[in-house]
Amino acid sequence: MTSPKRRPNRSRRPTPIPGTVLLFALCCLAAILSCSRDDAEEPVQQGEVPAGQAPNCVLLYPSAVDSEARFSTLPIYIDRLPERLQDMSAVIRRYLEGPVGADQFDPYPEGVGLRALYLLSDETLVVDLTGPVRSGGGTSTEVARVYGLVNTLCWNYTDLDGVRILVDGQEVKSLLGHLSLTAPLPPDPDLLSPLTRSRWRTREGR
Amino acid sequence: MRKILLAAMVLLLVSGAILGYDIQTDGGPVTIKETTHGGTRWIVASEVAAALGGRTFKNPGSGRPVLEVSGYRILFSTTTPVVSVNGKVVRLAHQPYLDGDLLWIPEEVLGHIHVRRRAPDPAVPPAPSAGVVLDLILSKDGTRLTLRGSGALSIPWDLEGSVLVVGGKGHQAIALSGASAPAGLVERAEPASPSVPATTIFFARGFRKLDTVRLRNPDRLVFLLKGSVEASNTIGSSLPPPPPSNQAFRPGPLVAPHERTPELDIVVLDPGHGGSDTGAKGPGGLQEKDLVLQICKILQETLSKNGFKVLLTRDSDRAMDLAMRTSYANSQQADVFVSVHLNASPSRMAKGTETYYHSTEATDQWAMKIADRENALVKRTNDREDLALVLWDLAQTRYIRESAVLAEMIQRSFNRLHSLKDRGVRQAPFAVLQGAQMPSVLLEVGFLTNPREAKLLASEEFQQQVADTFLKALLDFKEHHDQPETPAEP
Repeated sequence: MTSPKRRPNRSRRPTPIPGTVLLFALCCLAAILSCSRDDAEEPVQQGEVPAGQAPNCVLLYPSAVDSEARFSTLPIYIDRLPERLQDMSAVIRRYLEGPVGADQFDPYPEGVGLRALYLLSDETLVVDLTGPVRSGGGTSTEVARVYGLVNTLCWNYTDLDGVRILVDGQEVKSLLGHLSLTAPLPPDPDLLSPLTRSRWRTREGR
Repeated sequence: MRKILLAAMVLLLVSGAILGYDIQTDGGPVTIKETTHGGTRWIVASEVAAALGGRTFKNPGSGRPVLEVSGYRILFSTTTPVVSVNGKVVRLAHQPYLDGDLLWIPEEVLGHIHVRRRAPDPAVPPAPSAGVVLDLILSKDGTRLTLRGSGALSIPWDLEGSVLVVGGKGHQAIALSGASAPAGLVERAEPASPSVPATTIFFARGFRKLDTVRLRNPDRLVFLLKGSVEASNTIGSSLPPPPPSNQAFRPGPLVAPHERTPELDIVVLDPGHGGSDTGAKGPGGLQEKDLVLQICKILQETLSKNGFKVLLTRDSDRAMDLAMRTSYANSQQADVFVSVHLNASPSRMAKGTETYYHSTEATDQWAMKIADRENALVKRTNDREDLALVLWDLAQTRYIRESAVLAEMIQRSFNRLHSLKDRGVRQAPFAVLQGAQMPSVLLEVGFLTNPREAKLLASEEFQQQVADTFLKALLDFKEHHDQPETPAEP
């Protein structure tokens, strides 16, 4: 024997939703949104672009909202210089200043600067850094630090074959004891977020 | 002033002091620059050339540095520990490196071109280590000579054709022990005596060449003899029969240094960092170098109980050169090499296990563009030496393929480990995996910068779970590794 379903009393006046229930619902919504953020449409970062100008440079920083810290783009505007090496130097210096928002993080500690820059005949760029570039630890930190710069430079200068990193004018075997820096590194698009990777592949026939 | 002096001393200790290295030339001894890193002596290629009337230049085809001296032509690579000596590929224990325009090469290169380090002046009183008797041990199968004892790594040796002379005037006396000659590739040996302070080894007809491996704690210089022994000397069961009392030891089948037994048996675990290199730091003063050592010791115990022979690259808190870690695994003929680390990231979100394997190049179109250019270069120059190094690189791809399988199995196993998120298998050019002649991976167990994971990683209970998880993966890989390869269907 089943008990009859109680018919809802439609004549009763609806009670107002308590504040705690509303708060709970909002929290759930926020949690769902944040959890699905890895795979959903990625937020597009907005860099410093003066009014009336279009972005003319892309910086790649690790995402602070992705548990795998994949690189996403930060389109910015900088004054481009006619001399290629000076232009590259300006991009690197801007990169070392770090991202503008909280959704990306700066892989380089404060105080790291560009000491010198050389372009070899085989389209290998040698970036000589200075400052506490070897401080910290962890493979993820090192990957973010090395490939943030390598991928950014190869994104903006499509002729580059690879980037070699020196520290204080010296060759180093590794920054933090993991990645080998004894040879120029080609970019690694596998470290980019899905959206950024698709942009990488579609641009200029890559 | 005191502080400046102290700082200078510390700097010298850290960076390796620049010292003088005397080499013997026809015109007398010549002192060239020398530095030491990680217990290895390094000298400058151009100074060796200048001292011996040779030259250094860049190979026009590939741009690789070349040293031509005393009838030898050595082609170097600064990305692999492999050189080409008169067209033959030789693997060094250490990788040459460029410092500005200077190419620093490990001292062992001189052994390959038969350049002697100058013996101390007889008038000079012997060094404190002189007088110590070193043991020169011949392995039972006659394919390995091990010089053991203090000073073993600095003793001069010379190979002339099929005669090896170890020691010299003013150096330590050497006692020969182990299997009696003739055995394997050794025909006879004349031990050192008070009048002749050097041991002379005469190799058998099948001797082709030797490689050296330098090991520490205790200091050992190992000569790996290459060649073929006459059939009558090599046929036998896997266990050699006991030697007749009136006959020399009869050797078992020869195993070339880089050939492996069919079964996965030897595992070398490498606890990352050590000594002044602390690695990542976590809350409450946790340090990566300490925790990975703890984890590796538990891993060693767990794997040993399951029949694996497990060796650690370091079993205490000490610094170790990255290349030495792989060299150790190669010298032990390990079947698997795993470098164990803990991760760190500025991102608060970062968590989970990551398994990496070595890459010499990214696998996308960009790399193919460079590969095409390299291929064109090889065709254009027809440079056989470069080709030899390229072929060596190709041989590495077999290990890289197996490394990918091992990495997948480890990652899959860790995915199931409670509370660790899958971060997937990744490929990158790792210094510690470079030159490994076996499947090798770098395992980042978890993030020390994540407070929750740091707490777990510091607990013995979780460390045991990590060991059990790893064991599961290794058993899976062993099953894959030990099964005979089936020929591909036409």
